[in-house]
Amino acid sequence: MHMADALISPAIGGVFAATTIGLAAYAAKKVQTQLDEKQLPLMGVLGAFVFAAQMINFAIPGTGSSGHLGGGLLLSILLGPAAGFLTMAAILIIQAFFFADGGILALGCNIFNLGFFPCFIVYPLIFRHWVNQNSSKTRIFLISLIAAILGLQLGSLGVVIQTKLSGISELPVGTFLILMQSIHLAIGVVEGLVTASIVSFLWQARPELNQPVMPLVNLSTKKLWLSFLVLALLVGGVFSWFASSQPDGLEWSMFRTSGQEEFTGKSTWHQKLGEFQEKFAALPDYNLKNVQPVEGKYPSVDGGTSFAGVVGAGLTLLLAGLLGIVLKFFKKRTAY
Amino acid sequence: MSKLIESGLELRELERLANKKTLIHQVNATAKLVVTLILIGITVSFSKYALIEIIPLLIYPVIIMNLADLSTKHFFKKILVGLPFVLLIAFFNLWYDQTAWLIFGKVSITGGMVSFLVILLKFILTVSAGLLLIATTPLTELTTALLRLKIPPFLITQLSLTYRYLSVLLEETATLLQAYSLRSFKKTGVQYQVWGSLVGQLLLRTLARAERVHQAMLCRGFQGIAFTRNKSQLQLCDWYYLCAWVCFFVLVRLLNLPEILGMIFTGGFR
Repeated sequence: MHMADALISPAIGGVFAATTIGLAAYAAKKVQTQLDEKQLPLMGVLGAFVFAAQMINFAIPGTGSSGHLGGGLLLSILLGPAAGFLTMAAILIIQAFFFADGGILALGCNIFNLGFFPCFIVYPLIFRHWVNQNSSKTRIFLISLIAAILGLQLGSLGVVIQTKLSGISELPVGTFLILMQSIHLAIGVVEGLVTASIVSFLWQARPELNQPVMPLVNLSTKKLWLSFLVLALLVGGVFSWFASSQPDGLEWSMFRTSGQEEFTGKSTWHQKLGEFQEKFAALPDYNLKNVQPVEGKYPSVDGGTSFAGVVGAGLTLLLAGLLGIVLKFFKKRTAY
Repeated sequence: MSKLIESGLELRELERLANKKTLIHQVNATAKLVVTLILIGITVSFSKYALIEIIPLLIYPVIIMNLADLSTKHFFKKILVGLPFVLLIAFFNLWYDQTAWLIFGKVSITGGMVSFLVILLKFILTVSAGLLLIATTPLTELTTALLRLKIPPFLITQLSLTYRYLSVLLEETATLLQAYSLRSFKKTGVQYQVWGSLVGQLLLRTLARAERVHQAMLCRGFQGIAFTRNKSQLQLCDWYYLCAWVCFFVLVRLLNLPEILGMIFTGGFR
């Protein structure tokens, strides 16, 4: 469920990037103050471990299909939430840059969905809350399962919200939600079972690892809720601004292409934005002035401009292709 | 199972490409990183129907790929990795957005078709921008660039350590899975009875390895933060590179270049 850059708007990418950078700085500070310096290579190597373990196919009994490990919950169990979050962030950054899995602008969203939820929400509130040193194997198994499912459900909910707020997908929220949450319920069950098996095995094989390898970073619930509130305000603030400017941009593009205005009842805020756009647009009105909307015919299309646009697009593609050929030609010549 | 080996090989291939010596490879990593980030920002900022406006940005990958001597085929294969999820979401646009956007005679092009293509174009542009950066910049230079952009050294050390141990652990996991598959009669995937012990064993080995790594690092004078190669400041040509691309991107964002080109050719300005 790695989000791609193509599906998000700059506002969403920006808000979540800023949030994630804040979280990472907080986590880095926490880890650095409580860190036994030997843990640094441990975080690195465990990051690589999770990366490799994500590629193992776990056969799902009776279905013939297979599932995978996500790793966020496992990492916070092994390292504590702050170090787990940073390790997850490193994994996602490498996946985005080196394997083209998940976008670079979308990194904030991805780290938030796959790192923040399992490490800072599910681990302290569910896993750590219900599991302690004396917990039975069944209990550890059950709680790991529930925690993993919850973590993934929250993560996929994050994907839906971020995609919808970006306004690029036309998929209705309801359908999108049902689709994502049900798919991730299945994935969550597998992830939960795998995490639970690993944790149970470890509890048995190395009882001294009962404690997280790194001391648990104390997270106060109050601080957690406070940061949630700040995030909600931040997202709300940006969106109320974004939501009012987005239809305007859309409307503008519809006006340009169809020659007809779709929305009525503009607020003064919209008008101001429109005036601003007209003033600063590179080629103000060069299309609109000549357009006479055809009565009763919707959508009426300004053939002239659209045709020019399509011809121009073709020419640009041709130019780009030619540029490639010319560069290749020169490269060959200089090689000999 | 071969996915692990494939990923390992891919990492090695990217590292080989990054150490080439071409015009683009010689540009300062900070300049390249900033250009990449701006390109991604500009690409994403286009509205969802801006199919025609966005096309000129394709010139960036065409130029870089050629100047940096990279194979187009190899790149397209890499770009395809993240495509399924994007395609799935984009397909729904075709379905749900049926408003006519352009009409050519009897054929009407719907808004959904346009936004579908825009998502694909944005996807190709953003993904190739990231890949081109990695394929033309060695990791050591990239970490220096990140340091210069004020990313905390602690995070950078974490990132480089994870990256460095990736190939080691990919290989180790591949060996483990090969041993398992050779003993497990045509099974697809790891059976649930050994989920815990198989991955758990790998984890225990990983922990032991981390211990050895730390000892080795201490022997070589590690003091908490990994050293990065300190490269010289941005040269004049790096600034030219940065400014030229940024100007181009801003121009593409502000003007509808293909439409202007089309107007000139079809006489639309008269």
